Amino acid sequence: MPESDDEQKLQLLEEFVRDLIRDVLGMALNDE
Amino acid sequence: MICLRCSAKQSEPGVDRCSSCEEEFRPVSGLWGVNNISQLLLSIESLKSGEIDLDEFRERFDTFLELWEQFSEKWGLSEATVPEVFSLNRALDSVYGTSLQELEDSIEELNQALDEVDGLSHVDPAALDRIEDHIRLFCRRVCSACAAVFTKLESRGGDFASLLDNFGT
Repeated sequence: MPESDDEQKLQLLEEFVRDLIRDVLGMALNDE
Repeated sequence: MICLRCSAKQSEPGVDRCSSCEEEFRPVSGLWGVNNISQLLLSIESLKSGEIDLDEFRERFDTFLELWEQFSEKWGLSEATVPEVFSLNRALDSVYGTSLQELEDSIEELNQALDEVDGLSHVDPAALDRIEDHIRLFCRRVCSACAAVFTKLESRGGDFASLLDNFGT
């Protein structure tokens, strides 16, 4: 798999984790 | 964070009262600050003490469930596990796989809590204790897995220092 696909997946993973913390747990993210 | 009593989105983090219905937000032991999880735990406490009744308790969990279902729908979690959603190649899986499985396991804790709430027909202290344990484990495991993911992403060159402060790492 080309590296750009890896990076895309990791960006999605980061978005997933941010959504989970902010929208489900209801915690403020310090850099937003 | 939203108010689980009236669903109003709170514009400021760390507020001690809902900006709409003025519901009090109190921190709970073992959890830093106020958030959706502290509100769930507080609703268990309030049901046990008779401050709210079972209907009100269910309504608060239902409000949380709506948040969960929106998240779950966005990420396709009703059709796939967390590792399946990302289907990482072997190299990435060796780095992130454990954290993805931890996230999946944490969701199982949440599902068990929601199943217990669904099965409540009266105020059952033992069942409420189990619900509390599942909610606390869900939160702890999610935070642990998220902190691990941010740490690993940071090692690739990102800057997640302020985010990691969220978890006291």
